Amino acid sequence: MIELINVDKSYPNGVHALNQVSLKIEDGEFVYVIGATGSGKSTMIKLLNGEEVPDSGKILVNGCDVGALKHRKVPQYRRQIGCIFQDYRLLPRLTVYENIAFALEVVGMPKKQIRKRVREVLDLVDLQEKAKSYPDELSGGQQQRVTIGRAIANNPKLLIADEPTGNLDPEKSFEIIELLEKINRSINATIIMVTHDSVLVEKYKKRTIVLDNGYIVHDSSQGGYKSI
Amino acid sequence: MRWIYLFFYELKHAFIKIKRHVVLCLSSSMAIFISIFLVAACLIIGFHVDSFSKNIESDVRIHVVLNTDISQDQIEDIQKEIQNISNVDKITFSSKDEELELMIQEKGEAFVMYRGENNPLANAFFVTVKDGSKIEQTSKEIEQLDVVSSCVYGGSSVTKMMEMLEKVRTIGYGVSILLIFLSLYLIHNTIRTTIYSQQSEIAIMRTVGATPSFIKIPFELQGMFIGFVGSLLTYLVIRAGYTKIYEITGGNLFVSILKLIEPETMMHQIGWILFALGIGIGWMASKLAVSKYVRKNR
Repeated sequence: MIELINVDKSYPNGVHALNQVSLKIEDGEFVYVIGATGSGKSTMIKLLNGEEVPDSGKILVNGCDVGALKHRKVPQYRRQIGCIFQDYRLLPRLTVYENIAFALEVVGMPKKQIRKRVREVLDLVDLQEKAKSYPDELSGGQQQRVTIGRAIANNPKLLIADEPTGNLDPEKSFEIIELLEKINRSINATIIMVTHDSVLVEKYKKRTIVLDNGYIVHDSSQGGYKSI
Repeated sequence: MRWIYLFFYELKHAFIKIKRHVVLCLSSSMAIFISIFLVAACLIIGFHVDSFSKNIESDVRIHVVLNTDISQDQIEDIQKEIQNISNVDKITFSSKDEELELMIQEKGEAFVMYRGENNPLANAFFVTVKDGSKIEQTSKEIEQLDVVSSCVYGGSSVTKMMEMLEKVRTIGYGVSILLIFLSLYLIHNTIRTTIYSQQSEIAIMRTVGATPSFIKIPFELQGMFIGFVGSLLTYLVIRAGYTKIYEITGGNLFVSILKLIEPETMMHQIGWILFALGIGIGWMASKLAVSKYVRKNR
């Protein structure tokens, strides 16, 4: 379970990114976080993956107080969460296979197990044929699927997706959402997805949290823009 | 088992980094080579100054002439007294007959007539000192003792030479330290450049949960490798160059007292210092650069 309790965060330049944010997300939920630029969406993601520390309040992820984590404990925590980015952030000199294996090598998994796990992941994201391709030989949608593959390789309990469809056309966006839904079902991972895409939010209705100027202005379990 | 996998992973990635930045690595190896080469030159000078000083010091003895009218007991007492002076290393007795023989050797057969009862010379001691630079002071101390008639040693020219050698050595070591810092700075910059070119890779490593030390190790290995190549180059050049100089000079610098250290001994003394310095500087510089970067971000 993820819980934000009265979280405040401001930056040295005076921007109040989040104000008294409280929120609860149950295990296995799929949640959209929407809002205009500067509404605090990215800050929320940075707080969740341990990159930033709240000024006050608590962030609990599966019972772990993320803000209070010591520096050396952060990597261990990050292995339990997967991150997906709008700009994919793949290593251009590594193949699809190697990019996914990278996440497992970093945690010291034996080669044999890595091979097995990468095959499973490639199956799940439907990229078996592209295992030996380099990122620049793939379409945007395919690259995003590699990123998703890398994010789920470690079997995370939480997936954070920062505008994963931001660079994709509608058709490819739907593919990505469907893939995330599949992952949500198959490994029961909680998914928090930040997005701008109103069509998507409308088409695949889920719990939707709306941020504005650092405040949660709406939290609808029905989902979709119309419910707001 | 996990550590073995991690170790091979780190090693592989260190070499990938070197391969990718081969020109940068070579140029920093050259920078290390130049600075360590100069450090080595300073060290060689320093070692030689040490060895010259020792040669000169062992040649410098104080000739302590005693009064003529003293008893055997007094001689033994004064020997003990001189021995107790802190800077005195060895003291050897030279009877008045031995003194005469030395004089005959030095000044010629004309003094043969003084052998036996007619010997006008006094008993004496030859005193060697531990620290040659303090020979003047020691000589004065001995001279003040009761039954000592006179004290003679090489004189101020020796003291001046010792002082000069001391200065050369201090300057040599000082320059070495400066050069070590210079090469640290150079490698630090190189590694920083490679870090900047791999920022995105480091960011991804963080995202997937790599520990800071895991991120740092390939960079540190890279730095150590750069240092190793630099010191290997230095070692080879110094080895060839020094042997050549030794051959040309025939092992002596101008005079026989300034003996050059044999190439094998020299390389033995200096070899491990060069490698330790090169690898140490490489490791230290990259550790500083990468730690600063990794610590900055959570």
